[in-house]
Amino acid sequence: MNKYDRQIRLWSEAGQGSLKSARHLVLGVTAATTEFVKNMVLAGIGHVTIVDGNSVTEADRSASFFMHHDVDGSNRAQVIAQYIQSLNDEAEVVGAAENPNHYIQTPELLASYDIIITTRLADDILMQLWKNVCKTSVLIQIDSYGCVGQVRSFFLWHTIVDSHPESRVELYLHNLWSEIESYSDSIDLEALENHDHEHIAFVVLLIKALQEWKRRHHNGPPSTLPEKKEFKAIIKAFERTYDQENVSEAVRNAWRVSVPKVPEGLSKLFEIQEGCNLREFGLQLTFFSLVRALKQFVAKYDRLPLSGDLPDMKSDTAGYNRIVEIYRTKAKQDAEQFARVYLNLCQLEGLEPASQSEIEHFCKNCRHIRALRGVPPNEDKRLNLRVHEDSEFKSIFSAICGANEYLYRNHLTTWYGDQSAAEALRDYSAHYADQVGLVYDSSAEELHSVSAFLGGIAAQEATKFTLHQYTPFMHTLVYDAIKQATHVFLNGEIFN
Amino acid sequence: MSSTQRGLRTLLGENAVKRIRTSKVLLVGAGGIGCELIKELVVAGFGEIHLVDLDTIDLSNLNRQFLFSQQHIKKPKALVARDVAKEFNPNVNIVAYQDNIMDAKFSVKWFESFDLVFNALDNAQARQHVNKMCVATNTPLFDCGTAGFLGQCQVIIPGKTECYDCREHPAPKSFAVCTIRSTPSLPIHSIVWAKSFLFSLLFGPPAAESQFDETETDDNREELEKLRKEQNELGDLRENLTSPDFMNKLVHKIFMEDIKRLLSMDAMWENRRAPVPLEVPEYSSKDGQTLASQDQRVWTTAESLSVLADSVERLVSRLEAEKEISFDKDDEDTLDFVAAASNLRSSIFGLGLKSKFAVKEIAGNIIPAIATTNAIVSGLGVIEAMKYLAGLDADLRSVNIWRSADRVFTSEKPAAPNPECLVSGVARTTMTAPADFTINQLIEDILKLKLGYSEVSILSDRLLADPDYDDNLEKTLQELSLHDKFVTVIDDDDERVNLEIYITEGPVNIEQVEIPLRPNQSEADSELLDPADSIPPISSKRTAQDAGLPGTTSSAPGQTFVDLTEQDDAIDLT
Repeated sequence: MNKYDRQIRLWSEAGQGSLKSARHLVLGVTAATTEFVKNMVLAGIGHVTIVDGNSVTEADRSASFFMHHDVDGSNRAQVIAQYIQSLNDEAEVVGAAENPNHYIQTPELLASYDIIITTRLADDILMQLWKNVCKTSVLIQIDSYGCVGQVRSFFLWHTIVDSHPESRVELYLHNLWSEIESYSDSIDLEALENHDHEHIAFVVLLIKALQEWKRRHHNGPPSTLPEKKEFKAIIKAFERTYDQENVSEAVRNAWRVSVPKVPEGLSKLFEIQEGCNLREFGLQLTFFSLVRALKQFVAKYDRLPLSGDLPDMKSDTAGYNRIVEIYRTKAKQDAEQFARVYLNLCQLEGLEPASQSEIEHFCKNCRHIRALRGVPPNEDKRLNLRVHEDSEFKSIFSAICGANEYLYRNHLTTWYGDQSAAEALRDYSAHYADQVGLVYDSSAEELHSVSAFLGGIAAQEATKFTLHQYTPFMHTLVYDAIKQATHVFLNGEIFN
Repeated sequence: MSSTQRGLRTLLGENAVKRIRTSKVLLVGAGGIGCELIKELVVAGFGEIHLVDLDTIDLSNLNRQFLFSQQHIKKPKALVARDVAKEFNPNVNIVAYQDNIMDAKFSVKWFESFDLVFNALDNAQARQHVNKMCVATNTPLFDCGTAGFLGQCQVIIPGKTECYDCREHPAPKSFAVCTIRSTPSLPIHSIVWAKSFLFSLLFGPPAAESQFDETETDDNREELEKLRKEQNELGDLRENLTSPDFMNKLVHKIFMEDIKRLLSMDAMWENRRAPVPLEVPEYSSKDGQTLASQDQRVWTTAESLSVLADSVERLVSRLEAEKEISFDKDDEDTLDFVAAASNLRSSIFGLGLKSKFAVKEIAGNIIPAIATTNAIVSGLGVIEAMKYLAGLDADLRSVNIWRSADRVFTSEKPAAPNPECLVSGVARTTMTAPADFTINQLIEDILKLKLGYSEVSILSDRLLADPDYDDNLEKTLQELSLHDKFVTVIDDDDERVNLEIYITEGPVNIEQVEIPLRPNQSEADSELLDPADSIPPISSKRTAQDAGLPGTTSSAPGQTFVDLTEQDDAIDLT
């Protein structure tokens, strides 16, 4: 047992390993980014560097748990790093007393981080940073102003292999192989005693029904409604005793005889990588080379590799064990064939191949893999302003971007006491200024609970980007604490 | 107060900031959500925080409960949380109690002294108790909870909104005894068998009463007979725990003889996959310890037997000092026994095998928990509390964390109280009476004479009296320990709603109370009222059966239930 037990139950040891090797860079200390770091360090992140050039202010003290009178005058990043390091000695927490701009303008300083967290950056600076890091990192900006805030994520691609599907069951009955067929043929249903007949696994009943179907029709498995009815009638005719359970199971699973399609998202991924130089996928090179190999596998065998997972079924023990064995063997063969295709491809393209276990993991999950294509910061703003609904959230978004811009241009951390700032904020917020008042009233200060909420959301997103198991939101989440509501501005593409 | 809080002032108003500063808050639970709430309440400037938690710190808490670290393991959560929070932030002012919140010392009077209550609990029983105390004392309650990526925060303003019990919560999983003992069909059935039956009969405290419903029918006579024999044989084996041949005898009995006995009941297997008695391969307890540490992979039959043999040796050697041992998911000896025994049974019945890691989750009712969801839920909870103090009643929202493509959570205006609810929909009053006051006096002098009842039933946590049950009539409040507790009075003429009386010690006196009539069924079924109308809660019927009193629950013959939730399972029990 280890201290991550309660989260390993969600994302497995492999996921915890990904967290352990992840490196985050946090540019700018606010209550929200502090909460972010606290959450990641508790979860077992490998390394985080926190960068901030300022010392603790009165506004920090009113919004952050770790900043109080005793640390007045100390550097914010170092105070935070010291406290948060004490929460987990397995994580490495470094506080750098430097201006985040120095990092933004020095690509070498940015190169080794998987995720870069920013706060209150003006959009063109964000864009400048994005250009430097988009090939190597995900960018997340957290902005918290009073009772409103937002979290924005920018990434080129995010890929997911284990998407936690409800089931990986696939029977491939339309495309029988010799072992399963001869097992089915070895059973003579009519010769069986009632008791044995009731204990024939539904998989066998479906194969028998399909054989009968093929004797009657020559155009593939049943597809139209009347055809499906007829097929179910064939199954139903096997019934010897009233409400025979295995026959009912076969009827319920009749849909499984149809030809399984390659999921739409996966076909699109097949197209996207086609003809590309795989190296263009940067961090996702391994994923896309596995996708290319999968496409070649499908071209060769006309189906995806078998997962080997079976549903529960009523059956005698020997019969069930035999079917499990046949499916497992087939899945293992498929995995070996897939690995061969993939390793060939790597050799041809001169790529460093993934590990054996990564290949197997991909193969087992191939029907459920997922990929997301994100958008850069300038796209996100331009496209959002086209959105017509949710004008209130759009207005908050606009006001927050305006506030970021105003603070940045004027080298300020607050506009407290400056009434002319209201007008200036309005200018910076362009046309969507209804909610500027809400942002202005905050004096650019944070409410701790709002920042804790946003820090929680952002850390959950960073965890998803690190684990490659869950789908992050795409890509801007706006929060209004008074209305207690969020809105996500959807953008980019998802393939699944 | 941590700072000038200019932002808070402008956004919520001077009054709200003042109310936050002078509020006295009760926080129940110093676990994942509790630690977050402490931090948030301190920074928001809440003046006085009382923190109650019975539990001690465990290694598996450290991935989210940021106030605790390695050096605090096994120390009380409430006290450590108070001390560490103060190290992080000198403004912290917490009164901490290492206690069960259901303890009588946390009386109605004590609850009355708080302006707000936060629930940060993970077990329904304590949550229901706090909910009831808050409704009885008219104290706003913010009930927070999480499970993995999911979570919720319910805003409860007594009399105006639903309470925790106004909606039904899913009952803890329970299984028919026959499923566990004779016809398991899922891996969890084997685990419950290994933990609640096999382990407790061999090592646990002697069972108070038979787990079986004694009602025999023609259908289950044979099965019950055999199960009784099986149980008696285990009792005999327990007598011989220290014999060198114990392990062989145990394996022979539970994995071979008992299975053969089950197989002999032909009718049972007509429609089921029949079990196959274990073929015992070579194994040795020497390998047990090494194998037991491999908790992520599924063991083979021989490996499970090795772990079983080794864990039996370890448990038996402890019996000299301990007399009896209860299952605890964090007690490796007990967990190894249950993991090994359950997998052996699963392989006999052709059920899926589980790694020790997975068995632990099921046997220990472990709920996954992560820092981020706790942070999200706590943030939402404190924001709602601040809105309440700022007088933004119309904006209060209960929240469910349920992530979809376009949002993080759904929020809703809290609904009006459910008139059928056993907490929100009853009349309440308080009374004082001396220690020697009897139940009969309560019925005759108070309920009949002063309140005009004719026939009543009285319950506390059990049935005290009804027109047919008079055993307790001459017993006193002291004998029945009824001081500082609620008793429920049910009108047996079925006209009035239930009355809850809170009894404290003193000269005989009952607070005036109006007991509304029970609404007729058609009214009760009508839609919930808008909370804005803030109509006071009306009615409900509570019967002895609802209260789940012994002997009054009905169940099909042979269908006694084993409750999976046992004391030792509660994770952050407060």
